[in-house]
Amino acid sequence: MLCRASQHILKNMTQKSFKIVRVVTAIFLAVVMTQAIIFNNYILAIIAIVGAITVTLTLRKKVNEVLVDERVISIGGKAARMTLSIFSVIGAAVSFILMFLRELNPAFELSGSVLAYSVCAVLLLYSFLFKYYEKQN
Amino acid sequence: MKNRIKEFRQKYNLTQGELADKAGVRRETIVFLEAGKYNPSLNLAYNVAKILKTTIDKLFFQ
Repeated sequence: MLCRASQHILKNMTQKSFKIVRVVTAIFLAVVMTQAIIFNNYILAIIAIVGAITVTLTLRKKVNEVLVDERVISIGGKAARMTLSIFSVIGAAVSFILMFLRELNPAFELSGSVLAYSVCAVLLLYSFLFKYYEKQN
Repeated sequence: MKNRIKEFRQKYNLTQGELADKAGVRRETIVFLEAGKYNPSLNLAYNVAKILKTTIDKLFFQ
């Protein structure tokens, strides 16, 4: 019964059913990861991550509908640019505040440095990828 | 951008899903296109015009 249901889902994989499978996979992964962290079982965590990626990629290929088109790519680009702007401004501000407050707690300095370097790394990666895609098109 | 996609689509008895499949885009893209809330690329505009057996000019600028 369960086998027939899964075969039916695999044959008629639509955008909607793929979304449902993806959400279920994410929930399952979250539960397994929690258990792995609680019991210090890193192998379980790795198996769960690899399994989730495999399931998602396999089912993605079975979807007969278009999942990504030019509108989705355009929206993704806008969202990515906005995320980058917000993250870099807020990250820089917070890292500056943390550095400023290092007298209160020495851990603030490390947190501030990590955040500042993260912002720099993200901006560098963005610039590199921007140049790369600019040359491609 | 106002357009006549819905008019042409109905002329050829196509659903939004069928037009989307033929144009190689998601159904939502056709919904937004018809509502004039999305400006398509030249490539998509050409594909849609070709499927609806018309021209970009007639579809979008008349």
